Amino acid sequence: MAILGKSKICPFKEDSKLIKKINYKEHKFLKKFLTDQGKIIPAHVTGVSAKYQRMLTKEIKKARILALLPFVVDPREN
Amino acid sequence: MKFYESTYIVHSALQEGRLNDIIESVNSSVKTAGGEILYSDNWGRKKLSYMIEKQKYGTYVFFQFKIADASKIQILNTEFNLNPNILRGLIVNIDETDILEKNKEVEDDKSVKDVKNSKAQNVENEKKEDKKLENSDEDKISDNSDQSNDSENEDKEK
Repeated sequence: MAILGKSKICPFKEDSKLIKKINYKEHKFLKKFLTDQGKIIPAHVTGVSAKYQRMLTKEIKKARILALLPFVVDPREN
Repeated sequence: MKFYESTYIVHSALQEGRLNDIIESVNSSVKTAGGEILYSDNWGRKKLSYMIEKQKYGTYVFFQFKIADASKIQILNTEFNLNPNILRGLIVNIDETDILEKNKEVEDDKSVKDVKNSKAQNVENEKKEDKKLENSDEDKISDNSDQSNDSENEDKEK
């Protein structure tokens, strides 16, 4: 499964400017790493390296506390 | 000395005067904790990703501060929890380098006004310059037309 759809290069190692965007205030950027249901997309799908995936999850969880990002999205509501 | 930043969500039904009261009460609780506010910003009314206390919208207020005694941060946390008009609050530890526009709060209101005035003056000056340019352009065009007429006349004469 892990091989399917795996992008080989970490986006943060490709463009170091993106590392600054790993912040709970940049919730629009962090939303790229969530599924439609609001789950965090696993690193083996997005290709993010372990170091930056750790930073991402922490910031996403901070943004969730402030209601900038959802904990869950119920697809039936929309 | 530790540096922090904090965001809290205020009930969106509150009007500006009441909002300022709450911001002041939070600021005073920072002062009682022995802290100093270095930067503050109002993100405005935003839609919440999920309902908090049956509210769909909230006003976000953001500020950065420093506190000498880190254990006193609890005073601010209790303020967030006990104030019924504050839906949610988050306090995050940051580096000194992460502080935005450190001098904004230190500057007096006068300097802000001066900046505004100077901006207004700049705009006016730009407008004047534009007008001048337009006028000069017109002059040039008229000059050119005259010259062209002249040249045509000359051609005819030849």
